[in-house]
Amino acid sequence: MACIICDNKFEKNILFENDNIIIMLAVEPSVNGHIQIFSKVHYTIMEQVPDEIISMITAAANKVSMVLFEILKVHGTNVIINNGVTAGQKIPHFCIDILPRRTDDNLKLDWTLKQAAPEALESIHKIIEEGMNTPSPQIIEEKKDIIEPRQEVKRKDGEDDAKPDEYQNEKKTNFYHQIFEKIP
Amino acid sequence: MPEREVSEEDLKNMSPDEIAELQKQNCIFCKIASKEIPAKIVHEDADTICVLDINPASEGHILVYPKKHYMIMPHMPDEILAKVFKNVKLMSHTLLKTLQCGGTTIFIANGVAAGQKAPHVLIHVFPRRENDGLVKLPQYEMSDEQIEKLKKELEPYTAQIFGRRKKIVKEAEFVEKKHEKTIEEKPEHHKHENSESKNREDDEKKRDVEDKDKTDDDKRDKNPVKKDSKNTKVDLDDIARLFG
Repeated sequence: MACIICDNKFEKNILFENDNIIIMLAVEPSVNGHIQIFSKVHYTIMEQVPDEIISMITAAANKVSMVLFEILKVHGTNVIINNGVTAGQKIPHFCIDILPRRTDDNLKLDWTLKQAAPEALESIHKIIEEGMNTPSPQIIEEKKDIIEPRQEVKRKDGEDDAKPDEYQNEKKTNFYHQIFEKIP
Repeated sequence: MPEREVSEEDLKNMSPDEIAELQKQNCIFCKIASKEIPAKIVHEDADTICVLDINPASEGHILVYPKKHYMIMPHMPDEILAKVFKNVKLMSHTLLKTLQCGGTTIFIANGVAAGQKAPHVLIHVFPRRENDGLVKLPQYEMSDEQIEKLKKELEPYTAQIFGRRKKIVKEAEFVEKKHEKTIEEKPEHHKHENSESKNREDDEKKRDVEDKDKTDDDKRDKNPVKKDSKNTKVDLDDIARLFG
């Protein structure tokens, strides 16, 4: 898979790397001192990344934040994960962005606070709770796999009458498909 | 102690620790975690809680945070951080599944300068849709010299903390082998920390000890690790205390 991180096109930016993580100056920086932490193994979105790797990356993010506080004397940091192209993910390789922030940097990343109606919260809470209790489809590794496993499920389902509801759910929730299709 | 009894003069006379204690007592998010204030709880376990944000950036905005009071993310010990992010992943997954959005953003602000609004570390997880105009990262042009300069500035410190950089292995070689290895090794390390460490100070001492163990292979410098953790501690509190 062509990936600028796996192909090591930005070696000059790398600050540190080991078997699990790569810490580097951002490929497309948003501020001076913008740092990105990548997993060494190629994962596209966070859902694919094992918990162990995520915990290593986040622990490193904490330390990087401290380096920025201390060395660049910044007043704060933003830690951001953009998960999916719709969310603004630019590189098809899972990463955490760490942005040093100063009180006078005129960056506006946060949103205007606007209180939600209690009914709206209630309904979304219901949807999410239901979603938590329904089984999830398998997380797809690559584009090829999206179609093939699904057909297998179909065949199994025809024989097995016990799981029609589950299958319907799975059919609706091919959300990974949607995300992967958009990745360049 | 109710909030109203503390006058501004009292606040001036209080030590930073006392102010921190006061903030802890009046923290809305601690109260939500202890169920004193009702909230729409989506998921909960022993150390972390996931609730719907009442001021959502987009529909389905969830806050994931540790029940224990930490002000900013670098205050959190690694094992709590791992638990929190396990739930962050679960929440992101649930949002993608239930709301059929095209992606999610995980957003953390450390310090008022970064847009932090509550003195409790909060991990925002919210669904993203096309052209919603949220969290727009600007472009910042950097010349090669600037990159070089910044790298020179930061690299000594990252080397102190993380150790020296390993040489690059080609993609095909590491993809399968190395990944398996790390999964076997790391969980044990975490369990070890979990069972023994009860508060942060113990934790830090142990990490220092562990770091010293690792220095046997001559790849790390011994002294800088300790010095660093002391120096940054002061800075961290400064950032957290901006709320006072």
